[in-house]
Amino acid sequence: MIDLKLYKKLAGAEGDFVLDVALHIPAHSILGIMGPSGAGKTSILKMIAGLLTPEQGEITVNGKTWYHAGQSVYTKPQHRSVGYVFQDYSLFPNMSLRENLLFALGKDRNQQIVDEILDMMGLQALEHRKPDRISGGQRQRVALARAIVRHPEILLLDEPFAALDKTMRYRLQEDLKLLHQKFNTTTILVSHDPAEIVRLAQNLAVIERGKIIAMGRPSQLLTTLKSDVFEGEVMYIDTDNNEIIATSGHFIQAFPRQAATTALQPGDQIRVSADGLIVRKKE
Amino acid sequence: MELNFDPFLLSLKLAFITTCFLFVIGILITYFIYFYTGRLKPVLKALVSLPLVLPPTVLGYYLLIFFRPEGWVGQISESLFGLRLVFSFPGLVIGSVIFSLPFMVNPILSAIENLPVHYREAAYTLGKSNWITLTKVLLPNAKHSVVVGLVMTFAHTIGEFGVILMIGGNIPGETRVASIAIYDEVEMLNYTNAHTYALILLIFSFAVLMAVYLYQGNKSRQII
Amino acid sequence: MRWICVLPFIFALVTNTNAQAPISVAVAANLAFPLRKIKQHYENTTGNRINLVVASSGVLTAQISNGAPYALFLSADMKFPKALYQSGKTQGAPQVLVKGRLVFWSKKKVTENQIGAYLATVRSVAIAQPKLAPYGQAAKNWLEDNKLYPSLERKLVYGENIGQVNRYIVAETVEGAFTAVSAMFSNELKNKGFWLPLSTPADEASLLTHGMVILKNESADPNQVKEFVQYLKSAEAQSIFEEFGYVMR
Repeated sequence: MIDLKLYKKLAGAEGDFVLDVALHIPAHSILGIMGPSGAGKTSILKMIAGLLTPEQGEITVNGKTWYHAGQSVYTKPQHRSVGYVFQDYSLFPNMSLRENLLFALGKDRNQQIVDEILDMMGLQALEHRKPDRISGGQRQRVALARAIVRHPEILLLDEPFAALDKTMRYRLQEDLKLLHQKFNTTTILVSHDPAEIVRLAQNLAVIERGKIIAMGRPSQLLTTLKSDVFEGEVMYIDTDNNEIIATSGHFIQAFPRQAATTALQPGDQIRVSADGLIVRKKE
Repeated sequence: MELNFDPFLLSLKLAFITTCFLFVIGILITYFIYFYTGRLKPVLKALVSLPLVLPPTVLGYYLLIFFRPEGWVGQISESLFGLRLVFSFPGLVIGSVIFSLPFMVNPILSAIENLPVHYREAAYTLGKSNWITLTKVLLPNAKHSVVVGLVMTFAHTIGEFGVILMIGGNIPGETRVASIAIYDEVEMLNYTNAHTYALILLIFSFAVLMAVYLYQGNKSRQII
Repeated sequence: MRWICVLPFIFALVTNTNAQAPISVAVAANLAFPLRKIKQHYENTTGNRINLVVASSGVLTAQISNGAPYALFLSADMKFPKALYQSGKTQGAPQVLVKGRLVFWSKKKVTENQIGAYLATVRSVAIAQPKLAPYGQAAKNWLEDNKLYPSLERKLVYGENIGQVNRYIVAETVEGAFTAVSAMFSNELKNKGFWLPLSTPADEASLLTHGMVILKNESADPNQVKEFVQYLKSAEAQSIFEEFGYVMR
C-alpha cells in the first residue's frame, strides 16, 4: 500500500507549472499513469525513487515513511526498496545480462533467483551477452528482470515499452503480467498506450500540467475520456464539414474547427484539452 | 662526451610513479567533484584545470616556497617523514602530480558527465552507493577516457620542464630528467648530445600521441 | 590494469643500484669548462664519482639556501659563498679557489680602446645577468667605468649565466659579448671571432676571485668531499685551471 502527496514547482516546455498530486495505490495492484509529455509523470516516479526531492508532501510505502516534508524525513534512493525501469539506457553496457542481474542482486544474496528469472523470461541462452549485442526488446526484458530481482516493495516503470514495435511491446506486456503474478509487486506504469493500460492496470490516473484530471478504472475511463485528453498529429483538414481529423497513433478522431485553429496544417502536433479547446503544440 | 641515458630512466620513473599516484588521486577527485552538488562546483573544476593555464614557473615558484625546508609544507614533511621536498625526487613527484592533474581528471570527468544519467539513477535504485556507482558502473563505461587520461598524464610528465627546473634544480640521478638534461647539454654547448636527447623525446612523444589517436580510432568523442 | 602499479617499484629497484652515491658539486657556469676536465681526471685517478651541477652563482646560492643537496659550491665570486657562510649553510669559511678574468668577444678584431666605437656600430651585445652572475656584474662595471653603459643599455642581451652568453657566441646571434676567460680557451669557442682579455681595475679584483665553500650536507660522505677539495688544490688541478686562463693567488 502506497500513499503519496507530492508538491513541487516544475519547469515545462510551455512555462513553469506546479505538480500537486495525491495518490493512493492499493498493495499488489498496478496503477497506470497517462498524460501528455511534460505533465509531470516521470517526476512522480523519480520522487518516489528518491531521485528528485519534492518541496512539500509525503511518501509512505507499506507503513514506512520515505519522505515527509513536515518531519524532515528523507530516505536516500539507495535505501528505498524500488525497482525502476527507464525507457532506454536501462542496462549497464559494461556488464553481461547475467552480471547486470547479479550486480543488482548484491553480493551476499542467493543467486538462485537470478537463474529463476532468466529461465522464466527465456534469457539463459543470452545471459553472457553484453546489452549492445541483443535487441531492444530483449534489453527491456532484462531491465524488468533486473528491477524485480531484489524483490522491491514498489516497481516503477517509465514508458518501458514505448521504444518497441507493436509485436514486441505485446510480448513484453505478457512478461510483465507473468512477473506481476509471481512477485505481486505494487507497480506504477507510465504509458502512452491505452491498450497497454487496459491490459495491465487496475487503476488509471490521467495527469495534465501537474494535476490529476481523472482517476478510475482504465476501461471505463478510457472510453469516456478518449475525446477529453487528446494529443496527436493533424492528418487532414476537412473544409466541407469544417472538421479537423487527427490521429494519436492509436485512433483517429474528428474535432470541430475553431477560429483559433484556421492556421493549422496537416502534420502539426495538437493537443485537445477537456473543454474541447485545440492548442497547437510548439515543436 | 659519452651519452648518458640516466635522465631518460629518471623521466620514465617519474612518469610511471606520477601516473600511478594520479590514477588514484584523479579518481578520488573525480568522485568528489562529480557527486558534489553545491554551488562551488565551477570553482572546483577551475581549480583542477588551473595548471593548464598557469605558467609552469609560477606553479614551480610557489611550490618551491611551500616545499623549502623553512616553508610550512616542507617543515611538516621533514619532521613527520624525514622527507626533503625541494631538489629531491619525492618533491618532483608531488609537483608533477599537481601539474598533470587536469590531464587525468578532465577526460574522466567529462566522459562520465556525458554518460546517460540513467546509469547513475539505475545504480541508485539498485541500492548502490556513490563509490560503487562510480567504480563499477560509470568508470567502466568511460574506460577509453581513463586510458587516455593515463597516457596523457604519462606523456605530459615526460615533457615537463618549468616546474621541475624550479623545484628540482638539475641534480644528476635525482632530479636531472630528460628535459632538464637537454637544457643542460645546450648550456654546456654539447649540441650533439642535445640533438640526440631531443630526437629521442620527439620520437617518444610522437609515438604516444599516435597510440592515443589510434586507440581513439573511430570513437566519436575526441578527448584531446 | 592492477599490474601497472607494481612497475614503479621495479623501476625504483632497477635504477637505485649505485652503491656509492657520488657527491654533487655546484659549479658557477664560467668554471664549467675546467671542472669538466678536472672531473674526468679525478674520476679516472681515484675511481670516485662526482656530479657537476652548473648554473649561475646567484641561482646556485638561491638553491642552496632552499635546501639543495650539494656538497661543495664553487662560485664566481666571494660574495655569494660569504653570504651562505653567514647564514649558516656551510662548514667553515669560504676559501679562494682561483682568480678569473673578464674577456671581450667580437666578430671584428678590436683593441680595448676601440671597443666603444665598435659597439656603437653593432645591434646586440651579450652579457650575463649582473644580479645572478658575477661576470655579468663585472661586465656592467666595465661598461660604466668606460662611460658606455647608458648608450648601450638597449643593445644588451642578458644570459642567465655565462653558459648562455657563450651560447650566443657559438650561434653568433650577437656581435659582441662579455664572458669569462675560460671561454676563449675552450675547444668549442676558441676558433670563433676575436678574443680580448680586459684589464680589471685593482679594486675589482675581489669580484672575480672565485670562492670555494664546503656545504652542510648529511648525505655526502665527508671524506669524499675532503678528498675532492684536496684534489682541487693539487698541482694537477691547478694546471688545468691555468690551461683555461685562470690565475692562482
